Amino acid sequence: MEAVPEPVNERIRQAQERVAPQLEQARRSAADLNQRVVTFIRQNPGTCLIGAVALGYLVGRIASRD
Amino acid sequence: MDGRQHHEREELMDTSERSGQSGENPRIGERVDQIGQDAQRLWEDTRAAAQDIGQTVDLRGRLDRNPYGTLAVAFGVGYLLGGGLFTSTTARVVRMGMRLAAVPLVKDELLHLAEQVLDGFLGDHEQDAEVEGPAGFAGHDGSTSL
Repeated sequence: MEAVPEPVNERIRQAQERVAPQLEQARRSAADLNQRVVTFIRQNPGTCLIGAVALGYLVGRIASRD
Repeated sequence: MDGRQHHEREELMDTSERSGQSGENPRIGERVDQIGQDAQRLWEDTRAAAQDIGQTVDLRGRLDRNPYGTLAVAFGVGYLLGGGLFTSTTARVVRMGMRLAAVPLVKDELLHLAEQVLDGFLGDHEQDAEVEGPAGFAGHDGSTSL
């Protein structure tokens, strides 16, 4: 007996249902991380700015050596 | 130097010798006071200029409104200070940025193309299912088999 092939859109729907909770969890984690980073930047503006300039300087120095 | 100035200098030296302390000279005191006032005025001017620059740039407000953008600008300033402007890395990044900037322009075309490909793919599978369907039923039923 040859089985009737399952429609592709049904497979896609099942895969979407399987992946959807994980995607939602990843989205929540990313949003939480973003909120924490933004809060840290707003609470320590000088540190973050100086750090960014220092990091850019280092990358610029490394890039100029090539 | 004329005679009057010479005379004043001699008087000054005599006064210093008599008092034994050069700080008691009123002229030197005036000068010290003036230098102090100038220094204070310079400090106040510098502070006012720094405040003006701070209000103009509004770094804190920018950081509150757009933290990532402000940090990216700071990173860029550091990159320029580090001498990374005219390098192959910069050229590569600029080329990549130009390609990414072109993505929104061709996004609609790409989506349309992807829809067409997906429709064609799904259509082929449905046709295959329809073709295989009766044969499957015939095999299952057994009524049409030889």
